[in-house]
Amino acid sequence: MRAAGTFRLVGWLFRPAPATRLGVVRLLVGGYSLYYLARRRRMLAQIAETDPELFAPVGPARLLERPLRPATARRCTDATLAAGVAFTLGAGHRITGPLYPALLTWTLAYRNSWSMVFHHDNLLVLHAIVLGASRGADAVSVDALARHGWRRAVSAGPANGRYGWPLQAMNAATAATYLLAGLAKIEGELGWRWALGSALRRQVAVDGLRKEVFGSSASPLAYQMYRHTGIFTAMAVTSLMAELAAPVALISPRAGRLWALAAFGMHWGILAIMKVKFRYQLSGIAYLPFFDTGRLLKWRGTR
Amino acid sequence: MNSGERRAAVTVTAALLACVLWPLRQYRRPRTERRDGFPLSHYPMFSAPRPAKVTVYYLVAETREGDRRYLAHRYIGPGGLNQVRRQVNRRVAEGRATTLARQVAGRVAGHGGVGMIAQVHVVQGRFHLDRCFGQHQVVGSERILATAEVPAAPPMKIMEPDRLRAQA
Repeated sequence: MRAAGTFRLVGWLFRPAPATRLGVVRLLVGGYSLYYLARRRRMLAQIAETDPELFAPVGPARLLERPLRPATARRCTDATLAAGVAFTLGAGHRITGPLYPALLTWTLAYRNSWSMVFHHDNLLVLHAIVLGASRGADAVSVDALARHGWRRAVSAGPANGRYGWPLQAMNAATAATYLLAGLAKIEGELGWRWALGSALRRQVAVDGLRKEVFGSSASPLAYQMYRHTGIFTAMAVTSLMAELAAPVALISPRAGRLWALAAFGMHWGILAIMKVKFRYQLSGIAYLPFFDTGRLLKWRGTR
Repeated sequence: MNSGERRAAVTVTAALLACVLWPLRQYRRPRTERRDGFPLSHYPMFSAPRPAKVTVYYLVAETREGDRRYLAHRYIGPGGLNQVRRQVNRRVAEGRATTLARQVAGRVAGHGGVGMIAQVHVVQGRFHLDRCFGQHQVVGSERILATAEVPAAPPMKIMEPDRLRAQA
């Protein structure tokens, strides 16, 4: 019985996939993270000059007793960007594969060490770590191009468990983070009463209010919906279900795709109502491992 | 795929999931002692109950003519609205509202576009959510915690002590 369970788990983990599918995911996750960091380079430099008394280190930044000198912090960001370019292109993956996720984790942990943890960064870091530990640059990469030439670098090749497990591990990490978010709600003060929606309704209002007094504005939808408590009950039940049922996404590829679409829709709903941006999730790239991204290259080939 | 490669893949996946689920141990602690982290978190966002009346700390700019407006987060500090808001809360909680007002007044003076502003106030606002969102109007009661005059000329760049030492 136990052996059968283990066998099934191993079979699940090593579900075969072509190298191109993993390569496309590496390219897009790397490209997204690079764009995300590059756009914030100036802001990261400014944050590094914040009042040192506001430094509240999280994650690996807890190794520091005091903030880095601003120039050192800037160099760390630039090193992360440089490694990110190599990671995204799949150049020198044996080194840049593990190096970039390590630098990315450091840079984002340091950015989050000034009194606010941005939860949308977590999944990006976890995905980069898996990609860095895998053979994510065996296709759709500079490494593959140098070794095999253009045609083989972008041709699917035979499906293999060595390219499937990173995708499954990324999906498992995604599902686990949503499960944790759901558990946080029912482990909170309200317990299952969170699903009634009144906490969510007030959360939307508090968030909107903060935006107003800090020179931004609440979503017009927040004002319009506030009177309709039933809508918030429906939203709370739906989001709680999506979060607690996240492990179901791992049962089959079809279940995974359906759940990914639901989670993707949930984040766009949060953006419309609260103007809260879970950027990685909103981009859709967080859910790519649930989909056959290798098809992107097939589509390209038929043009 | 050889057995060594398989073993490594299983190890990486198991270690990753163990790490991601590690923050579950936060639930053994009392609610007030739970700590968030990065990149491993128990994702507490949106889970806390909110009262009908809330207190928010923010900054208000006052012009020479006496007009008042909320001061946008970008004039208070870098990092975006939520980071700035958390930092304002922290400074107020530490009893540093006056320092905050002074620092922000200095920053405002450095921005040419907000040259009409004469004073910066750190404010504690009390808001009734049903009233604000029911009537589509952000109105509450305010208490000024600290005030600073905006310097007429751009102030000298404030240097952190360790940078001063480095330059010396």
